[in-house]
Amino acid sequence: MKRILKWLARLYPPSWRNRYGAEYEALLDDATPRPRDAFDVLWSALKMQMTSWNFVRIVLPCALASGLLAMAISFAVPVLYTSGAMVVVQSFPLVPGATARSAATADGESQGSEIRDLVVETFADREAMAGIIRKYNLYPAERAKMPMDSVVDKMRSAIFIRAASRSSIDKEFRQLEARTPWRDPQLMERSKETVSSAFTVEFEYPDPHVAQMVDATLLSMLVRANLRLGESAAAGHPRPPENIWLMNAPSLPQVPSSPKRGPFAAGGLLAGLVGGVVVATVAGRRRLTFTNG
Amino acid sequence: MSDPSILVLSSLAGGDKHGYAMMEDIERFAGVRLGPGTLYGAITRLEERGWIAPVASEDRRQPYTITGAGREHLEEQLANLGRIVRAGQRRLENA
Repeated sequence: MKRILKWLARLYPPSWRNRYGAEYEALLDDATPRPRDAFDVLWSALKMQMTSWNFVRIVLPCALASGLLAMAISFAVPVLYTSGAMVVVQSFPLVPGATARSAATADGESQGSEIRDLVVETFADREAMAGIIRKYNLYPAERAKMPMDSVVDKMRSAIFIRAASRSSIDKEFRQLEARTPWRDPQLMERSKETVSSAFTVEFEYPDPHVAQMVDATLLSMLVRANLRLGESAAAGHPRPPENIWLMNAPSLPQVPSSPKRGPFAAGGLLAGLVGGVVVATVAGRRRLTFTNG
Repeated sequence: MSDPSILVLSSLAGGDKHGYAMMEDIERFAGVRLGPGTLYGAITRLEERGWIAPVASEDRRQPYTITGAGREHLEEQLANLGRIVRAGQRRLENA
């Protein structure tokens, strides 16, 4: 523990160590160290760094420059918008009176994987994806210099499938109820009970309108694929197939989803702060070596 | 009452001491064990303000002494604390 404390004491500013280093080490030798002393020494060293001249002269400018650079980069990278919609998976109970949630628990694994396979197969269809790229004239610059297969890969990397939490499903239902007050509340409650899970299908693109149109096309592909699956499985299937339906239309994004300038700049600031502390420590060591030498 | 500066000044009011002696003394009279970082943070601040000063020593253990200004500051702080303690006690008795 004493060795750890002595190592941590090196984090103090060089000017401080020059003045108090020897007596501080004597104290660390005399005292019986406790585990929380490590935090105490580390915290004090950081506080001392922040009040030292090096902090103002080196660390602060490094942090500010890095934060500004990150901000400038965030303005240089292309702005992207994400359109998304929630898809609800509805499964019907095998036993009359049982809810979908209990049916889903009984056979949850196979139900989940069925929908997963459907999503994977639908969005793995390279021909269909290439068709969407041509239809909406997506990625014109990339298409001029890349084979279509690579552009399809790029498009697929802009599709995000995320599982929706129960609270977000309930929130969507509340919004649906508010939008359509004429709906029978009992029927709505019944629909809610048959929902076993939900996920969102999102598409990211520089143009928000195009992002919305492409997302709508992807969703309609998914719904059509599910209908086909239902039709083919209707005869001889041990239980009714799952149904998927859209909770809402794909959103028209108003604000960019990327880059997130605030977190980007904060990350740059933090990186600059850490880099500045390292530079200040190295610079301080060199100065000490020159002074001592 | 665990302000490290007041604890260090109070300790030095009883005589010159080096870091470890201060740590032990404070633990004895206040029941507070100051960590090495906290103790030397207080020593640095107090020396910068001219409230304590190092005493010439050949040893690695550097003793410190309280200065006149430090004594005045301690008296002022303890008087304030005394007023608070008395007011608190009075109110507890009347409650």
